[in-house]
Amino acid sequence: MPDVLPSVDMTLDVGHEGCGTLLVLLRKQMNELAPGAVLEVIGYDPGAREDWPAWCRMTRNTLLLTTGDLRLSGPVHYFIRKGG
Amino acid sequence: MAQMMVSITHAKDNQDKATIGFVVANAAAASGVETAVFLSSEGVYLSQQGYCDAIHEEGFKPLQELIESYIANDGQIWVCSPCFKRRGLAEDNLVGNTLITGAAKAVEFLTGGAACMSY
Repeated sequence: MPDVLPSVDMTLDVGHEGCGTLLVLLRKQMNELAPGAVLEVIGYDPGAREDWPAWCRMTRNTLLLTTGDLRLSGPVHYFIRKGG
Repeated sequence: MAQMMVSITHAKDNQDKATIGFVVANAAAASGVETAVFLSSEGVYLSQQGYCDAIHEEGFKPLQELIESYIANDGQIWVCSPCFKRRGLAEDNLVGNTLITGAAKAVEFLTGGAACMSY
């Protein structure tokens, strides 16, 4: 973990959800946040490592930081700032 | 640079389609096209080292050779994460530079202008 983590407005633990189901959950949660707010997502899906940067680029949100266990089995924390 | 995705949903259940998918992917990569093979459904088995060793369809090069030449020409291989997980496959047994991913990466690639052929 880095020394300084982004200030978080909401945390979402998605467990082992992945792919399209996970993105629907993510969109629903982001819709409840104001622009500039930061969502921390905790997940285990190895596909998210490639998927969420792509999703953030497509939806004009910013992936600030990815931390945690990047192996198949470990939880990963994603910090996403909602776009304007 | 032009972009192309080749979607492959078969492995030993349809060796013909699995092979032809990589033949087309090789043609694209060797033509200087940024190419991504997207493996989903049964196709995810093709991501495992050693799995393709015995697949050799008449009229084509052995599948393992096709995959090696594709990777050597900077071809990318993306594997559907939920398809991979539900079959209990091993991340430390992936061929080459294979990436485990979900639908968003594929959607971004395709909506960015990539053409797609499916097998």
